[in-house]
Amino acid sequence: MQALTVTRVMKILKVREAFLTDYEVLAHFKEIEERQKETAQVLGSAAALGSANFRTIQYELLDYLKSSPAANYTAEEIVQLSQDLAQFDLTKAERLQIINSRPKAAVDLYNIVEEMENRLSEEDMYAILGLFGVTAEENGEMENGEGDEESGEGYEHHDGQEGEYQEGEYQEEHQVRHGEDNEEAEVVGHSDDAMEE
Amino acid sequence: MKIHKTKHQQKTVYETREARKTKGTIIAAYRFINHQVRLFKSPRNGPDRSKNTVAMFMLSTLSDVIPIQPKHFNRPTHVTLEDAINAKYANRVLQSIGLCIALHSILSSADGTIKYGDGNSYVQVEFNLIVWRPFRGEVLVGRIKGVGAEGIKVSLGFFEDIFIPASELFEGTEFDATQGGWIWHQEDIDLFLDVDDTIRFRVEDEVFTDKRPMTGRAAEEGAELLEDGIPPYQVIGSCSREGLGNVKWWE
Repeated sequence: MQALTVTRVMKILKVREAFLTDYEVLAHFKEIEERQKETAQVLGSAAALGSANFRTIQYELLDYLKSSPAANYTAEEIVQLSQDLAQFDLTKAERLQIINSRPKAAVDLYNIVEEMENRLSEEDMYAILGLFGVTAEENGEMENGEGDEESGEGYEHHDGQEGEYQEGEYQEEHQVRHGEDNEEAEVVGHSDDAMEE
Repeated sequence: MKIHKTKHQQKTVYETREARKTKGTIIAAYRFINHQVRLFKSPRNGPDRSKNTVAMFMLSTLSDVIPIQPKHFNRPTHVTLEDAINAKYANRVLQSIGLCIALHSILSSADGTIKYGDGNSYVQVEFNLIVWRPFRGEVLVGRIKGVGAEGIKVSLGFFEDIFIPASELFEGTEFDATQGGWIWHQEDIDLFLDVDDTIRFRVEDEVFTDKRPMTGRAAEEGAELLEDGIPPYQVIGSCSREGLGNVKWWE
């Protein structure tokens, strides 16, 4: 890890212009990869590579991001998720963290949201977990989801397809899924508060 | 340029002759030797809504002068600028900003000027840089790369200098030198933290160390050498809350 000294002409205009989710950084690097491939076709692979330090960070960061929960998102999901999360009492940082880490259990949310007991009701908490397709595992109960409408309606459960798990969730705007027959038969609402601790 | 001591300073400030001579420079007049700036002074209790709340990845706007070599004049400028900015900033630590990852977007660039002495065209560019800087309270997942009596060293692959001191681990953990790992003793079972385990931890603090080379008066007076082992940017973590620790424990 090398330090970069601030030279006399380098100016830092704004330290925090914006925040990025892991997904956005991954998308950016995928774009860079595409452009490098194009250049490699035209100019040869040596010309397409960046400098050594850029190559290092590109390789390591892609490795890290591809194995993080952010790797399975699509752009529409991110937009939808951030809209859905806006209705809860969460700070920007917490929303970002939730999107980045894809909580699978209440304990994950507890680590992200400070003072969760005071700010989020149990319903809210299960609603948030429901956005990520967390089902009732304890007793296998499947009721229609309660809580807010967005998380309750029209959830489809894709059995055995962990990677595409979340693609079926946002039914309100994207009605595309209803065309597939095998999923029609398995429309099951997720229960949000059947998870008893 | 004035000398003044801030509460962060550990050693005396030297007003260098160079600093007095140069005018209109951006860099501060004082040169620190082995100074460490600790951020995140907010209290541990209560929600941390401090002004330092950022995301893991953020955009920073910078402005810099980038030289374009004559052999690249036939290439589109934005391509050359992007390559040059990436070459300069990628994988480097900027003090008090964080680890620079890559160029995100170029906001504006002026016409290049050619200076006396070489043929390079110097272009003033404003651009957004992707910077990595986790914030206090953020939960990250990394791999244990080293264990010791003082604590655990964690690596994220692209960033290796994360340290969880022994005091920040679960109560009841102890280091076992023979087995080479940390063991969390509980009533009925023992849980292990060994090298190569995936660990979920919480960011508590960050330490920037200025590693500018010593020049002038400071070197003459034989001031102590900066140790090479200290990384320019170090993240301190903790692993004491429910849900943290070896990811296998909570599955």
